[in-house]
Amino acid sequence: MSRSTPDDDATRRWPRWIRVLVLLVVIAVSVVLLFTWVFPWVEELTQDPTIGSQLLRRPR
Amino acid sequence: MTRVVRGFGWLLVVSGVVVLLYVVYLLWFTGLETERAQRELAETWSLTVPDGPVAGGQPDDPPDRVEEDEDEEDEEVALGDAFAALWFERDGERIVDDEVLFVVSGATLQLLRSGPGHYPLSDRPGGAGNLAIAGHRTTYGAPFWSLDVLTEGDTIHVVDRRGREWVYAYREQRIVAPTDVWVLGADPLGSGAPTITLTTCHPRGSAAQRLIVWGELLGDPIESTARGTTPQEIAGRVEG
Repeated sequence: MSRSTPDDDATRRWPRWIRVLVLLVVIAVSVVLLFTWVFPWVEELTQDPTIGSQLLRRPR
Repeated sequence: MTRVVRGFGWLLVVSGVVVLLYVVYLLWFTGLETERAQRELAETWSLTVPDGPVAGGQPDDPPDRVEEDEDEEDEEVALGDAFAALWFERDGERIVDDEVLFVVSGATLQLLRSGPGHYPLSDRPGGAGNLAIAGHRTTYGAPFWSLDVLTEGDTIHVVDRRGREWVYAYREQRIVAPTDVWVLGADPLGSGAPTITLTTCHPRGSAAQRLIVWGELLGDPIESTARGTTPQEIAGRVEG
């Protein structure tokens, strides 16, 4: 079995602009998910000062 | 394999930074949002509410000295608009918060970003039933950060949209579960007196429990306009 050399790795890599694009897309999707779903959920869990709202969220 | 481990490591580092930034945002920057909202509420309040003792009139002012106008009594306040002004006093000195707090209509998390919020189906200020208000203990200006300092002899002052000041005497505080909706009932203390109920998080920084503070109206109440008939209804309709 032959070992891959750094040169082989380099030739298998995607072009730099594609890697940057993928990274930007991942960051953008993560930020959107964080602000639309994760952070509101954390806020609801830790900052809700109202009474009874947990009853509404509980699955029936 | 090394690349996977390195990638996972970076993912953890980035996640840590994001969480840290979120905590910084919650603790410091949400207060700025509330401060701006309170300023706006104060401006609209000064334009729409007749001259009233907003900044601390005499606690013993008889609330029924203002003539009644039933048409205005039933006025519906739009969600997010200024519903009332609120502050706390001990021996004439303001406690809990140095500023007058403007209470918005509605008690969703979104609306509570502007300040304390009125449970829409609970009673109005001065009403014969239970006036219920929720407020943040931490974050978003933390209006109820020090709510637990209230003791016997302290007073809770509420000015309604007609400029009438209603004074409630502090009666009791209790730690309850977030599901204890009975605290929002028409007569949670069982005294038969018109009541104010303030709800907030407990302990600070957690919503595991709720701190409840009750006060009873000093002076004669006006007719109740509470639209919720059960505590469940009042608790369940935070959006109005």
